[in-house]
Amino acid sequence: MLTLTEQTPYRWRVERCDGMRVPGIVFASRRLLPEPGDASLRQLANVAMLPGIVVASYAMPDVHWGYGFPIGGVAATDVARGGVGSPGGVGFDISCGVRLLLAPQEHDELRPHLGARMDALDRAVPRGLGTGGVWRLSGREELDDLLREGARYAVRRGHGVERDLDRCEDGALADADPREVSERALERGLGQVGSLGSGNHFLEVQVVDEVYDDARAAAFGLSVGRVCVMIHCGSRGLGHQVCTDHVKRMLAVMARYGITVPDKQLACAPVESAEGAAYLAAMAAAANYGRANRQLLSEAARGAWQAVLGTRELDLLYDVSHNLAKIETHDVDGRPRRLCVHRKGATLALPPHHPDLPADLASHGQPVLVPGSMGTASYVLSGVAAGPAFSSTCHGAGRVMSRHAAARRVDGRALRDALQAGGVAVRASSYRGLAEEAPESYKDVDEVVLTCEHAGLARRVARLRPIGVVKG
Amino acid sequence: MSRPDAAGHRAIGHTADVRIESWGPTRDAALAEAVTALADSYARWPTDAVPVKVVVEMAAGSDEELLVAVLDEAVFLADARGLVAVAARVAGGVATFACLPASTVDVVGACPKGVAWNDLVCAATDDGWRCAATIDV
Repeated sequence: MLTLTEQTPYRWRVERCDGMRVPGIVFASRRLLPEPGDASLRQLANVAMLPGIVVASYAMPDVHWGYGFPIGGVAATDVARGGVGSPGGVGFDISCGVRLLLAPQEHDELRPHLGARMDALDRAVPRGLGTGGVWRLSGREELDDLLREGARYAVRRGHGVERDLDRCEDGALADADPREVSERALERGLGQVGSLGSGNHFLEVQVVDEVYDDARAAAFGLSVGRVCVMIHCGSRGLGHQVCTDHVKRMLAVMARYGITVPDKQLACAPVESAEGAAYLAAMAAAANYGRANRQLLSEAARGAWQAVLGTRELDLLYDVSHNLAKIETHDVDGRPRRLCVHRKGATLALPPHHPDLPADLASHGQPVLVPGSMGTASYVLSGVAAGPAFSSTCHGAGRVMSRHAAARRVDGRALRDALQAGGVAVRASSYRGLAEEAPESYKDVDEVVLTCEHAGLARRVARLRPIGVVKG
Repeated sequence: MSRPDAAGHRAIGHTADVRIESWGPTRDAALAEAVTALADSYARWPTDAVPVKVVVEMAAGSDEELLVAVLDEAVFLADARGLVAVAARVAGGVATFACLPASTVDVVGACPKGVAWNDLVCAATDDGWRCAATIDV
């Protein structure tokens, strides 16, 4: 039986029990606590049983029931003390993430072109089932280059500009090794570079609706009325296959390392074992694929912009993942430790003056991109000093209604009409897919980000309102 | 859980994407029904469509592993080969998928990408077999 104790109005503690090595910490207002029937707290407790976990198993304000890890979970393991890496702690869609591009135009300038612009984006963005991407790679050799270099390879081949790379979370993950990516994963990945996929992935045209921090907003290039393009997608079939393959591989070897887990999706191996290293190398390759994928979709958006407005100018503010494991150094009990930090539906939020930040953003902290649901809002936050969860914060609004329930309760056509009446132009692959992503399927994103701010996880910088949605 | 002898399937609510359940008089019948449940979660297809057969030998030990292997194969066929497996026959560790080209089906929901081990079920019941799986989309 889990015991939840209120520590502050925005922080709750799950006491240790049943093999938990550390407590659980939930950052939530009372209203955002998981609802009855949502198993995310049990999953948070299960994560607390992983070998080598330090400090706590964390849940962000948008936490909800996942598989293995809760979605919105953060867990760090101490590499030197047998800490494990878990593919389930990253999730299937490795390096699923968000990038935000800034247009030079104001909303009023674009209003007359909205329909044409959305039609151009509709044509330019491959999405839905299976193969078909913006970029047809020549073969395995080129895919290997892309897996090693990520967005850098795409830019080197003419798909973007050098500045795009300065604004990616960490350029390319250097430890990527395509040899740890299976043939099946490579086959899935070969034809999908520059595609959106389906589910909750989207490309949105947005307008800066409100600014909360003038100095940071100015540094990030955000002013009320400015138009932006937000892209939310990941590493497509390749990333999913990497997760599938390495969960299976770890399930087969856990006993050899004396590891037992309460949920097979938490399959893991020590970071410093052969299996742990193989997973991290494959994960890095998939992450590079995810960044290249978003890079190509940025180029597709730029092409659509050019077709309608005669300019390709869409400057990248930032690109950040919310499904990833990274080796990072953090102080634990007053000493720096090398940790494997898993963020499953949680976003890195580096504080001001962190060495990984681009020089022109360093004094402001990392831009954190939080996609909301259609018809509500998305946010730009910034990382803060002394963040209580290894410099992590929320990744979205957090789902509360299943796709199945949403599809039964919501009429996709009526939803599209309501969104359009509210000033949001919608280009969707299917009405049911649209219904599955209805705003009422999600928590209140305004409360989620405000809770992040109150809990000391991140600071609000700007609110973005959608005016056009391309849905997978 | 008690189920009638006939095979069938349904979708179950789950905030982490999609959860499917299937049942049948035998393990292999429930496994085959799980393939249709997966297709039904995101596609609609004409009843008179003529499928192509894809035969795959399943490398799996336990019943649960077999369920993951069968569903993983259906996901792979759709994602990499553009073939939607709308039905299957499972016998002797071999799965024969009845597939329709993606261009001939109506994609109505989020497409499957992976099969989770969390709360995975492939087990005998009082009057047959039951499978359940959570699918990442």
